Amino acid sequence: MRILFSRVIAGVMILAALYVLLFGSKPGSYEYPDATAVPKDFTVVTYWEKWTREEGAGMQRVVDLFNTTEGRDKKIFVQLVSVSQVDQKTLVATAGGDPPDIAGLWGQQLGAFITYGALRPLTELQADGTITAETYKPFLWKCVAPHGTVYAASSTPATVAIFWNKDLFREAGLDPERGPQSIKELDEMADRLTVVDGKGQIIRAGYLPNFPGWWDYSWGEFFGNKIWNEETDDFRIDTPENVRAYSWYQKYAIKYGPGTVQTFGAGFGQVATPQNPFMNGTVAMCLQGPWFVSYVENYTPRFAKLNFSYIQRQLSRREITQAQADAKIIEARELFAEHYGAAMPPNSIGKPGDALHGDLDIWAIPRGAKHVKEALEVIRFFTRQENMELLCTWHSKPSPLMKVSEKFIRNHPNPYIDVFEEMLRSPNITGLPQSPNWIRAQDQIRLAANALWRSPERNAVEPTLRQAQENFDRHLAEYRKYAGMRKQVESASSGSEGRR
Amino acid sequence: MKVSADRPRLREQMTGMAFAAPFIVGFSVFLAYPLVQAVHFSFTQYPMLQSPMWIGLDNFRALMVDPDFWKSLRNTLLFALMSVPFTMGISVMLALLLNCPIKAPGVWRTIVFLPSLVPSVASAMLWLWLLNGKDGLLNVLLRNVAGVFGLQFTPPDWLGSQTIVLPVLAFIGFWGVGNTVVIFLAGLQDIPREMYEAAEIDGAGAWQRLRHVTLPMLSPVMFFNLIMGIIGSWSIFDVPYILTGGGGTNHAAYFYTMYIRDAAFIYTEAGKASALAMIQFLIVTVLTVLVVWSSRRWVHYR
Repeated sequence: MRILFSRVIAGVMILAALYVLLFGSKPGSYEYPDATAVPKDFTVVTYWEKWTREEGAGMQRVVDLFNTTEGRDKKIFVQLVSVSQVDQKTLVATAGGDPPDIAGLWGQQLGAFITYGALRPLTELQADGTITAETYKPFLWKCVAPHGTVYAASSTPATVAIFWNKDLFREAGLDPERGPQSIKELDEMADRLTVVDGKGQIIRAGYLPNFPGWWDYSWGEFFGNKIWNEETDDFRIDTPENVRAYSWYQKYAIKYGPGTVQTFGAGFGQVATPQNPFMNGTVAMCLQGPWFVSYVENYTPRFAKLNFSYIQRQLSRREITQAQADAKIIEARELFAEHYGAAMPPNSIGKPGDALHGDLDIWAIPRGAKHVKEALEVIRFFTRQENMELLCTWHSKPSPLMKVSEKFIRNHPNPYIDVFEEMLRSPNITGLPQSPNWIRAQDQIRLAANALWRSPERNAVEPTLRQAQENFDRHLAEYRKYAGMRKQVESASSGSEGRR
Repeated sequence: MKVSADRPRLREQMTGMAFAAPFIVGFSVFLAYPLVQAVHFSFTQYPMLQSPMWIGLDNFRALMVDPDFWKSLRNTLLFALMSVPFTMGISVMLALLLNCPIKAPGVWRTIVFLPSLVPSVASAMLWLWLLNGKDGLLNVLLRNVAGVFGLQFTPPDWLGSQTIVLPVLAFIGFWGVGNTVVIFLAGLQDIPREMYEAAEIDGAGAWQRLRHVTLPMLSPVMFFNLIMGIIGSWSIFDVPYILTGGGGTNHAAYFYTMYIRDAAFIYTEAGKASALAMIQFLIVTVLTVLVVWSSRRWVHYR
């Protein structure tokens, strides 16, 4: 009896697996659901992308749009492959001579990729006016074309804003419609919002400069530090401005006690989860990018059935009409604006907006890509205004293009999109030194910030930053030495070839 | 006559080679060739996207004055010193317990072995939950127990504290001792019963039997597990990487393998990463040779 039962169970499982294999849902909703189903006369463009979840869905939406329209006409099929640690894998694949046709990379590594010749210049897109100083916002233009030659297209850009919880502001007697205008005011507001229990444990933090910790390397910018000297490709970590910035940063750990803030911080969940301390009300203010609106809407219960990706799913299943979807997005925007505020972050050098931090994701064609012509067609399609706006809407971000439609701002799920757009257009924005040494410099500052925060009793600001500078300088000297040697080797070999 | 005698032997050799070919090809392509290349790269400056440039011993010289190198080396050494004896001790103890005449021995053995089957990422997530400094199960338990006795106690942030993170990681290692326990158990069951009987006749008690029969007879298995433990502790990467987010506070849990990975894939210095790997290879080889050399004194073969 037992054997018979086991066999029945095994049989049912095998049949279920077969059913899923044969009749299970297939990705995409168009004629060629994957690269294997594409007609033979189509060119398959491989596109590696880092994004997953909502952002990944947005990317897939734009890819689907290409495949069902222009791609069908031009016989090009884009196969989007979600790849974790995409920078490292693209690097290895490029070095090995088998890269994807399009790589969706982080902007942070762009300088290194350009220096080592890993990317093919997108001169065709520059020549036909797709990516130029006129079509791109200035900060992004400088990032993708550091020496005037375009090496990448911006997929989705970002700027950093200060977000605050309006309900907690009301509770603390603060004006919920006005964020901090200076670092001093940020500190004062943080003090009023912080709640500590009788045992000295933090129940709620008004503000913690190390949360979420993504921009720990950039605090100097808000205190007037110019970290990168573009002319000399040098980075300055131990400047007086940085000392001021990280003294302020460390002050928070000292004020509450390093053990207390660490215990409090240990309870923070991942950023894109309901355990995010801003979402569950245990931190009242934080620095975040435009995508944070989407995260809050996705993981905060009050936005159930109102978040953008849910609305899009309903729309694609034809459960609601476009007009109903637009109305829901407006409802979500209003709900977000009722409970949360976002504005340009404060700084210590002037008014908000005098120091801003930017970032971007890119599309690039790695050296050795097999379908360059087709990949250029795809990037050209992606970069078209309406497609760019579609993607940036999905990512809750501003557009990289100078020209932005009124509809994009009006129907955007982010109620503060105008703030992010304004920041991205500002000449005061910095943040992505296009240097192969940027990652090293960034890591040294991160490590120093971590030491200052975790053990302030052992680490004073000036010597810690000086040590970080020395560590970086040693790497820089090494980099320069080898760059010089390479130049000599190259000129010697080209000289001997010339003589031949 | 000679030719006819050699032919079957040659055919036999060819057949043997053909059967061994999949391994030989796999070994050559995926192990031997990369190893030789790594030795070559360790003497070059190689940013992966440019061709390797010969720089002699410069990578090794640079590492000698690199604080990250020394820190990762120190952390790994301390971890190995804590983890290897601890894991060995726990494994021997568990094997001895499982070797006792107990009810349902298969169930107990399965319980001990099961955790080693859990994928390392899944077990790391479990430990993250257990050891969370604020709401982790362990700290909630400790706080509640302290509360029962009317004590005010702030439990440590196990993975965030730079002073205790290494012992904590070494302790976590016991989670995967299942494999080692099984090997020890096989060794224990291989010890002839007559030796215990003889010892008993000579008046040896339980402790003396353990000290003078079990442990010496188990020494060849200990020798094997010690070497595997040393290699394993010097190659540790996944669990500490997940638990400490890539090195922890002040790089207090920044292990040697993490530095190799960062050098190669974050800083694109494949030459330096290869030099690091060569030094690691050398360290593990020296330690293994030392263990083999010392084994003459403490390993007893029947």
